[in-house]
Amino acid sequence: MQKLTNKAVGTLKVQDVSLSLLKANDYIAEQIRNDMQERNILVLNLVSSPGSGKTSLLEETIKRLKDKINIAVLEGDLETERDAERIRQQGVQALQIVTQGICHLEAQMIQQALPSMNFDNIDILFIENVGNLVCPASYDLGEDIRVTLVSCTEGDDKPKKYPSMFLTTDIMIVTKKDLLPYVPFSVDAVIKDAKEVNNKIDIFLLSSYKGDGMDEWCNWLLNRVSEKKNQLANAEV
Amino acid sequence: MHELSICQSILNTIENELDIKELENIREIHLKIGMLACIEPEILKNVFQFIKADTAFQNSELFIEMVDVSAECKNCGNTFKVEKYIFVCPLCGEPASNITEGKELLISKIISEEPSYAEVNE
Repeated sequence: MQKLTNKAVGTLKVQDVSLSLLKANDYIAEQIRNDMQERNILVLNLVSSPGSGKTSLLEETIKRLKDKINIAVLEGDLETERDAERIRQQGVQALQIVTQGICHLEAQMIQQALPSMNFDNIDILFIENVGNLVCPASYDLGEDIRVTLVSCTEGDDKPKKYPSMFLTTDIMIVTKKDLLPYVPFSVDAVIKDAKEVNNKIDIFLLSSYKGDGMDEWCNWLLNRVSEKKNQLANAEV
Repeated sequence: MHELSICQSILNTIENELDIKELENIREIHLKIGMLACIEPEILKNVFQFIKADTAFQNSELFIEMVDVSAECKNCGNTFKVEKYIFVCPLCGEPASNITEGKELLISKIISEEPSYAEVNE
């Protein structure tokens, strides 16, 4: 005898979509950008390999600029408070984001950290990303300017090895200039490669340790801060 | 190595987009990933195997299409495949920063199997 039963028969349903996997990050980054714009704060995202001198550059920059402008720093690292402690010794506000193994900062981490900081009269917020030339490239943190450091001890081939980072970078800083006589690093070669990947990239060459090139960098920063203030003043008129 | 973050984003993105009842029916998730997205497809697939376990996505698989980098020259209008990350137009030699393909990191297609109950003679 035949038995009537209910049996699931699958029908395939194909949905063509276009859903960005960075949409959530980009949405939060835009919120941060608007928030910082309203507070008139210039935000820089510093990226590089570990050991290129991001924290040293920040220490020296703060030493030279702290009497002229107000600076705050967000430090990203897998572990330890060490970088934030180094920055605090310069007398400015610093907050450490410990990612506990995550290899990059995401916009949400920044958004969560911001309420713990005091932004009264702050002119510049530096975000020091986790040392890594790969993953941070994909994550907009709401910054105005992305700065990538390449130290001359790590080699002049970085722009072609990590093109995504250099493509999304506004400024490349070649650090540890004082060591140039001792290492096979060609400034011309690194500039040529960086320009081939990203023709719009601006370049600085400096030594945080010896101070060479620091004035040019600091003056450039001061000009960006005034530009930002003028933009806001014009927008309010 | 941000494949874990991207995998989590795949689940979150689809959860936001689809009705919760539809999630268990998903069989295939197709991604388009540009060569500039710094994602290793095999690692992404492996991470997905772990992350989908014991979730509504456990019956789904990832299908990944990698997209080469192309750019358009604003000077002469030529669209070209970027070789060795040299963003310079091969026709006129001008720098080309208008990247048309290669930055993608998106879900392009979702295939679900909808159970429809039919009366069957056995």
